[in-house]
Amino acid sequence: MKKQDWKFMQVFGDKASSDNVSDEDIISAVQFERTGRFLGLGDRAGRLIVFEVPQTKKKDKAEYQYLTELQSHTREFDFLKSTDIEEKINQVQWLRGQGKNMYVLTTNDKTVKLWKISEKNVTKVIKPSGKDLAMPKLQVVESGLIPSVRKVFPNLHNYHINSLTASNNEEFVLTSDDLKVYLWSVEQPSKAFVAVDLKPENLDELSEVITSSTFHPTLDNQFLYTTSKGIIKLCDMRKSGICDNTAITMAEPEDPAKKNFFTEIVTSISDACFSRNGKYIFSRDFLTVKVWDIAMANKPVATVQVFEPLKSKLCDLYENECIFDKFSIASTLDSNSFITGNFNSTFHVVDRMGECNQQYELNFNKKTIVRQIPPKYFENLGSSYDFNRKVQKLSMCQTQNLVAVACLNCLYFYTA
Amino acid sequence: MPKIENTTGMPINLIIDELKSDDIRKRIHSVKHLDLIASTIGPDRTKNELIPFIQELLDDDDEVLIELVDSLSRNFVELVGGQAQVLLPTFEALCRVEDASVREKAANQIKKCLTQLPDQKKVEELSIGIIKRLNDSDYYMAKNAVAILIPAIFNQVSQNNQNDLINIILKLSQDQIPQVRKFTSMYFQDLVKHFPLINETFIQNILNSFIKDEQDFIRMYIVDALIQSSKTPFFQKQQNFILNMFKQLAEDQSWRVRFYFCDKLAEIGEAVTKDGYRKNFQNYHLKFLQDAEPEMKSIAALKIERVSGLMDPEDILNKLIPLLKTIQSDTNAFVRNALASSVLALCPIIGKKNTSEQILPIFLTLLKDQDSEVRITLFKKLSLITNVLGVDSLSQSVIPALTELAQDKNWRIRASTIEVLSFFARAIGPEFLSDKVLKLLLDWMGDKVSSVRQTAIQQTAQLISILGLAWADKNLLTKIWAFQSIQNYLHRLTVLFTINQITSQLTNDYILKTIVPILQAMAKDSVANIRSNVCRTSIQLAKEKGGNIADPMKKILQTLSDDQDAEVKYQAKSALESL
Repeated sequence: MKKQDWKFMQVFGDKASSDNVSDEDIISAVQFERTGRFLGLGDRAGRLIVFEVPQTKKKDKAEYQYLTELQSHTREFDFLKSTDIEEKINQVQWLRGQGKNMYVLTTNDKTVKLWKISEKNVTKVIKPSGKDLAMPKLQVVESGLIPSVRKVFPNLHNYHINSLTASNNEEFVLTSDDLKVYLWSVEQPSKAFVAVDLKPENLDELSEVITSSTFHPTLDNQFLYTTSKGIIKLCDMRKSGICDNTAITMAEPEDPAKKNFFTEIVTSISDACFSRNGKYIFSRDFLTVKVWDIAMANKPVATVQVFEPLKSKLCDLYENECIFDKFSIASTLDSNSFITGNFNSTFHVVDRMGECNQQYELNFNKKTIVRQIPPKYFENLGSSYDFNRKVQKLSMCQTQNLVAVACLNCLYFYTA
Repeated sequence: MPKIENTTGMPINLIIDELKSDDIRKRIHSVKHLDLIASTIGPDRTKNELIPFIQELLDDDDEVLIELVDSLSRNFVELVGGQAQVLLPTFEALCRVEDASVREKAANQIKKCLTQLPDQKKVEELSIGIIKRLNDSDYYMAKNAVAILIPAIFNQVSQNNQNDLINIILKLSQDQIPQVRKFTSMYFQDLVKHFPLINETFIQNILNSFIKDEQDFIRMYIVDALIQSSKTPFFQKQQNFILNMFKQLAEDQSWRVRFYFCDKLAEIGEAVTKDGYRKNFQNYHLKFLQDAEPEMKSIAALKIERVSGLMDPEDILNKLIPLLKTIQSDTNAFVRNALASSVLALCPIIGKKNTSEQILPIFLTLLKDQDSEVRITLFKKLSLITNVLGVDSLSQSVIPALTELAQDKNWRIRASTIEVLSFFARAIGPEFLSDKVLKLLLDWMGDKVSSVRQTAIQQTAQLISILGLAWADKNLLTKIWAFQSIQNYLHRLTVLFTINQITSQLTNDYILKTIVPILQAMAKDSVANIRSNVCRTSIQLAKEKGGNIADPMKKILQTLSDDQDAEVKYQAKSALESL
């Protein structure tokens, strides 16, 4: 398999701002639009920021530029439970544009919204209708890209929404929280369908929660969801209404010999995705990535240690709670590799056989710093290893080998 | 047309201004009253000023646009002086919006406007123009309207234009965006009606490409197109093609497609006639009743009612009923509910003996179902089985079940059960309303929850209208009047509320003989609320009945105008004044 060499392309952010990051600027969601022309970013302050590649005559790889932003969600108070509902954007999904209009779905913990960003003229009445009942005279006060909320998907989830995906045909939206996976119709937000229900009869018996879900990249009737027990379930909406009973389960049986205090925590899957060709599933848990072949459900074809030195630091990670951090994963265009983030401003590109693990270090010097991580690698992680610089969110472009990687409040682009 | 009256309480110029208000509720209110604005300024100004101004409203929230299209759909052709074509640009613009219901309504309004234009050539020119512009639009959702409009005008345009339209449909059916293909599939049923103007090969090609489509919602609508084409001569010529395609859909791997097929079984049966149904589709229905997916079992059970008319009674006995025994104990309540709503339709078809042997056991099992909804659904169809087996034989099993529901912990269940009574009265007649059943009604009238009492009072009124005042008085009303002496004043109020509800059904004689003494007695009640309601009841009776009722009512009100309670006094006095 041809090794992919990723190179630094662009960065938004600099060292100064990155040293003093305010919590609200931390990027919490990244997503390319399907043509790759736009990129959407969500942050903890509830903002959606859109970047675009301006359409120029130049054919070579143009760079992204800031286009516009909007305040997607605001902090709310849940009166029933007496808790705050954070405005942090958990996920961003683009829908097909129409003409010059852009459509984006955003979600926080509770509410999904469909935003439309379009070139508009905002008008104001300057001369109202009088006794003659003439039509009011209008004047344009603002012109340009104006966002508006087109649809709000009513507050249905009892727990925090962890994933949001749109099907390829954009008829459906899949959202999941700890116990349920819902299927929404984009046309009619008032109709939601329960696709998976993990709620036990007695909540005290709860032992497994849903951690993420995603649609198949091309088949609109298939989706997967992952659980805290490291199980992946592949569901087919065509087979049945409630999809859980007919799902294919992919789980590796637990090896009792290797079990320790941390096993339960680190086997929880933080994110999973299909390979672009739909043949494989890449699932990320705290220490490893497992590559599954859809045709073989009893064991993964490869298990890759993302960065083994972390294994020896589990106690510290538990102390500073970084052991609960969730990392995203994405498949490359040729489906032969996957990309996932790590601590200390690094991300890894690994081939799906698990043979070649390359670690890239993010930096502000426009350099591509990469090193090979051999299997059974050990390194003493000293005090310079920064657990706060987490690369948790990334997004792969669907049309070219381009990945957007977010670390704290900075956004990096790498191409291959 | 007559001028529309301004009942809004606002001056017209303010309504006009609020079309651009920052408050969405005000915009909606103004849009609702567009006809008022148009009527006030007259047809010429509506045409020249209002309609162009509406262009400024098109970039608004879905809620406003829904009101807008509804508003323009009412009498606006008259409001623009009968010139329907003036409205076409606005509706064309509304065909481009994101909300599907607005687009569909706008397209239908374009259809309506076109039918009101006298010049056929003009109609052709305008419609082709609209269709082509929408088809070429950047907004792919505009093609929805194209799929709606083409079948509507197809047979009114020239051969050349028809060829163009065919090509447009062909391209839409192969569009890479699934929603566009969906629009084409949904409305293809309207296009096939034009056979033989639409030729055979074209229909077959389009349907063949749809059936191979991987999107469920595109294959689904083929069912409708096939049903419609079966009603045209296309059916005689291509019977095998149609039947084979139906079968593919019935066996589709996606349950949603099978569901849609099953939902339309009755229409399919009508289209292919009884013989066709029995030979080709009956087995599918029976298979669906055993499908692994509960939604499939549910829709198949629901359709028993309509499909049974197509089946041979022998088949019903030997093939259908054995399957129902598993369904009656299905774990999903909605499946059992579906069965409850349609199984009794089999009784008249299979006759008394078979009903007694085969359906009665199922009926009795469902009657004891743990889910109250199932039991209530069953009750609503009770007449179907009592007509065949007779009321008496059933009352032994039905009455206890009814009693249990009547005392259900959930007040909503109790309220729903009450409504069942008028079904009985209408379908079966007074014999069913035996002492036991009437006792239930009286218990409901004394229920703790006021909604239940309300419903019971309404049912009483219904029963009187079905069974007559004489029957009601003898069996029911006398007992209700006895509530007067209950200690809890809420139940004494029930007496008055009942009188209010049944006023229109009472004769003056009855009122003089029975009601007046009641009111006189209650006017001396110790609770002021009661006396206050006596005022209300008296004034209602006086106004509705008049004649010889007015005087006794006045006397009662006069007594109450000296009442010690200020509220009662005021009510009585103003009541007297209004008389």
